[in-house]
Amino acid sequence: MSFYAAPIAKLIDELSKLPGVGSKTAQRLAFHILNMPSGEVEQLSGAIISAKRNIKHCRICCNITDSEVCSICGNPKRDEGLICVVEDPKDVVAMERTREYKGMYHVLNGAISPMEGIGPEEIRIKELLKRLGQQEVKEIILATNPNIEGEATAMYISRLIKPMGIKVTRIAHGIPVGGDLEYADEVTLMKAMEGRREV
Amino acid sequence: MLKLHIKSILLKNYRNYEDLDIRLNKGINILYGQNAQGKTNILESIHLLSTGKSHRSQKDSELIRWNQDDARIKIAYEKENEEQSIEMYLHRNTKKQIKLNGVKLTKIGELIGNLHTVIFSPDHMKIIKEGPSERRRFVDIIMSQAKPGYYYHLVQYLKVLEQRNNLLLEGKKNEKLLKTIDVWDEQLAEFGSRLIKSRALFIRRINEYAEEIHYRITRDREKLDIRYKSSVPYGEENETEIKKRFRENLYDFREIDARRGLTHKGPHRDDVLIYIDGNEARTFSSQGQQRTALLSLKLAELEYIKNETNDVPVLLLDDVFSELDTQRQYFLIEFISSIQTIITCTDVEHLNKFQITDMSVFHVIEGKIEKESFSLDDKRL
Repeated sequence: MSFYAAPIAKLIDELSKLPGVGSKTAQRLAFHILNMPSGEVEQLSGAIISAKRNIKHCRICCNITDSEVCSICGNPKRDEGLICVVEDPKDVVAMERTREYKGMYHVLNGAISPMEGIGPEEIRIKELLKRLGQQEVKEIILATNPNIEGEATAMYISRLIKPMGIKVTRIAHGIPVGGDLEYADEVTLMKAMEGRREV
Repeated sequence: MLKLHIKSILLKNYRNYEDLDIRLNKGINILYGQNAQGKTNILESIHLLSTGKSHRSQKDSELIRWNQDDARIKIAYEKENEEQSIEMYLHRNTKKQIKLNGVKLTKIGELIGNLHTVIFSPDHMKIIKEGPSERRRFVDIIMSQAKPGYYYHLVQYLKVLEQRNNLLLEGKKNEKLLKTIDVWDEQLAEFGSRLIKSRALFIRRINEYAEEIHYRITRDREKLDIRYKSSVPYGEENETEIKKRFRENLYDFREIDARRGLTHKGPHRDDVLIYIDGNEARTFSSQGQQRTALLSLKLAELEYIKNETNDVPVLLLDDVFSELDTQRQYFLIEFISSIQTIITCTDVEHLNKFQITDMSVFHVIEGKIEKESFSLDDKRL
């Protein structure tokens, strides 16, 4: 039920489907759009459509890109023997910000979650296995999120790949660097204690 | 050991209290009055600031006085010889806010463990009388307060369990999904084995305290025995061993689990068995025996928190004191002599026979309190 005229009600409705946007924010955005010059509104809608039309998944790593092969997979300077497996394109960006990692990526586009009906077929595991048959890989780094779905996904992949004789590692979790021990919560501290290593 | 005591409670628009400010005694505090005057509401407010949750209401909005938008509770207490305070602000439309010594907390977890309390109400008879879930709840609540890691493992365990049960249901349609069952079992075993081990250790400790207390209450006539009944049989109390057994159990039950669409083995199916003289209290004991067993169990809880956290908790007795016979009342009065206790009851006459010196009596009438500042000494004059 809406007190707005149909076109604006529709706009509010569509905007509120976006993540992080509630009905109030959707209203504010809708009115902002109505007050924008027509040219800008066309640029915005054009940008949305063009992004959707032109973005596809990289043939190799399944990351989103505007070409057949993404800029990382196409870069001859990157180490082909190293593949970092992540859940989401945003994770690639996060990892790239370190400027330290020089290997390749594989983007699963999700994690295994029976509750949402997402099994191994619904994420890009098959593509990862295909890559392993095509290129010489020394190590697979599993960098899925440290929650139960990410952990399940990492475990599932490691069980598929380990028998192939490839080294499989999992990123560490624990105390954030630059943080104070006294401010870390108990669970993080506990995990950090469990994952301690000899120096 | 450091004794903890509440100095004052301030309630504003909380339940049936418009504006209340009471100062409590270090020893025993009696809140008496007829039913539905608001005695339990005071105990509830203390428990709320101790754990972040009400012991009888799921919705925070029920805690706000009728026709009002917000409520405020402030408790000032002394711990380690230092004045401390916890404040809670409840609003109908926004999330509740909690301040510890004036500093806003971001997680409920940060609140737990500051003001330790043990609450005992007639409702707790469920622990003895009803099904396993009540006893698991009893264990989980105490352990979450005493051990921060326990709560985390419990939450993770339940999340994995939900995923596994979904997988069993969905697996009938989507066979590929069933291939991932190993990784869910692995995680279930990981978190589950920790829960099993912690529970086993906890119940052994609680049993030691409860057995001794029960002997004292019954003058060596009854033996109370509390045993952990894990749904995963294990030999040695060793995490790796338990984990291995749990994993095997899950594997053996896969077919049955898949057929019924739920997980049959694991800590979510645990029970705690309570025996009096070798007979299970739930079915074979009289009402009076059950009540005594519960008293022993609750006082054992107090001992456990005392020893585990090094704090002497505040004891909240909601309508249970007058339910006990005279001998048990004498025992309880002696037991709590060094513990701040808040007791609710309907009349105060029966308390006269205990010669308690350190006591304050409050008369609760329709959301207002009159202090009858007799300690019994005054009355004898």
